Formats: sequence, structure tokens, C-alpha cells
Amino acid sequence: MRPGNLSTRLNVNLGETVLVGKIVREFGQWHGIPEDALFVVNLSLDELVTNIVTHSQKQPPPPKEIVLRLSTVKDEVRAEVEDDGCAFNPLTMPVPDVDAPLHERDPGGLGIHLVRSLMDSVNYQRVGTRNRLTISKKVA
Amino acid sequence: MTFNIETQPGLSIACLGGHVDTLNAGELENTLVALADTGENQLLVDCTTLEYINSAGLRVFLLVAKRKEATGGKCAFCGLTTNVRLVFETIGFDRILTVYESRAAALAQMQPLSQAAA
Repeated sequence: MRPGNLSTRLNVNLGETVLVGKIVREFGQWHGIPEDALFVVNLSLDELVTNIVTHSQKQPPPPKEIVLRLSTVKDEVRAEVEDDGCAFNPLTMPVPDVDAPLHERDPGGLGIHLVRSLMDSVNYQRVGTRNRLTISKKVA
Repeated sequence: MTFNIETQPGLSIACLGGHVDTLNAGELENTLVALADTGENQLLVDCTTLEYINSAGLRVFLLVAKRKEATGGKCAFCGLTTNVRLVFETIGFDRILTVYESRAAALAQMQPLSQAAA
């Protein structure tokens, strides 16, 4: 992979998840991120941004902006999603029971479960008045 | 997202393609639920050209499969691409949903049933 980084601001609406997909794909192509890693990073960022937007509607005041940062360092892709909404750690949400039979499966919590499972690391920090989620994926 | 419906005796096939995301999952839900409720007794979701799906779309799959089975029907998925298969396995859908390798494999299992029912 070619080392590099990118930082951009997103508005707080679901339409921006489409933009996230485009940004991640272009960044990935430019920096030579392998297709499988690119897919899981894209999916994880889609889930995290979706979470921020939908959660912000439940708990005012809503964040005014989301900051997305991407970087490639040696054999690792890293990404950060930061918002200025009230403190919210999605990693504290209950983990879905993936072994439950069909009629008992609850459709909630799938997004964050995907992020946790597909990334090598997921960390939440409250930095001043901002929520920051950092994810990373090693590239073979 | 592309969505096409084919009908065989006793079997509705939904061909789902492109990207399923948070923005169009609602549309997918309406279309698939309508097909589950008014279509044939068996529903096959063919994902051969489905490139991307996030949790909003996966939630719809779960909901539709539950709904179909609750009314005595059958629901299956086939032709998962590498990426879609990965998310299915990550959230355990490969264990609770009926998944076939390809449409041919799905039809081999589902068609004899529909012919018997016809």
C-alpha cells in the first residue's frame, strides 16, 4: 500500500453514507488497499456514520458535523469517525446473539456487531466535546 | 439497487443486485415483504449480482425470512458474492437462513417441492 492520509467533513444526514462509500473507494484505489480490506473498512464506516446520524435523532442536541479520517500505515488501514454530538459509545450496545434460532433473532445491533467482528481493533474515546471511534484493519 | 421478480409454479424469485444500503433498505423491505405476502409459497432471493449490503439490508433479510416461515412458507437465499457471504457468516445468517451456493443448487432443492405442490 502507498502510505497516506485524508481528512474530510461530512454533514449529519444519511445521504452522506453514499459519499463515505465513494471517498473510501477512491482513497483505497489511490493507496492500493486490497479489495477485501476495502470492503470491510467501507462497510464499517457506513455502519458507524449511519449510527451517528440515527442516534443523533433520538438524543438532542444533534451533532453539527462528522469528521472522517483515513490513513494507510505500513500494513494497516486506519480510520476515525468523529462527531460533536453528546457522549455516545456504540460499543456499549448489547451484542446480538448470533447463535439464536431464526424466530428468536432480534434484528437490532447488527451494524456495530459487524464493525467489531470485521475490524482488528475498534476503540471509542470521548475527546473534549467529541465522540471519536478509531478502527483498524491489517492488510495481508 | 436493482430488483426483478420471476415467478415459477410455487416459487417466487427475487433477483437483487447492486448496493443495498441505509437509504434504500426501506424500499427493499416494502418490495420483499409484499412479495413474501402475496407471492408463491416459496421465496428465493437470488443475490448473484448483489455487490454490497449493510446491516439495514441484512435486517430486511431477517425480517422477511421470519415472516415467510411464520406463515408456513419457505425462504432461501442463493448466489452470495464473496463480500455478502462474509457478512452473512459474520452475523451467523449462514446458520439460521437457508443459503444455496447458486441458483441452480437452490432450484434443485426448491423445484421438486413446487412441482409436488402444483
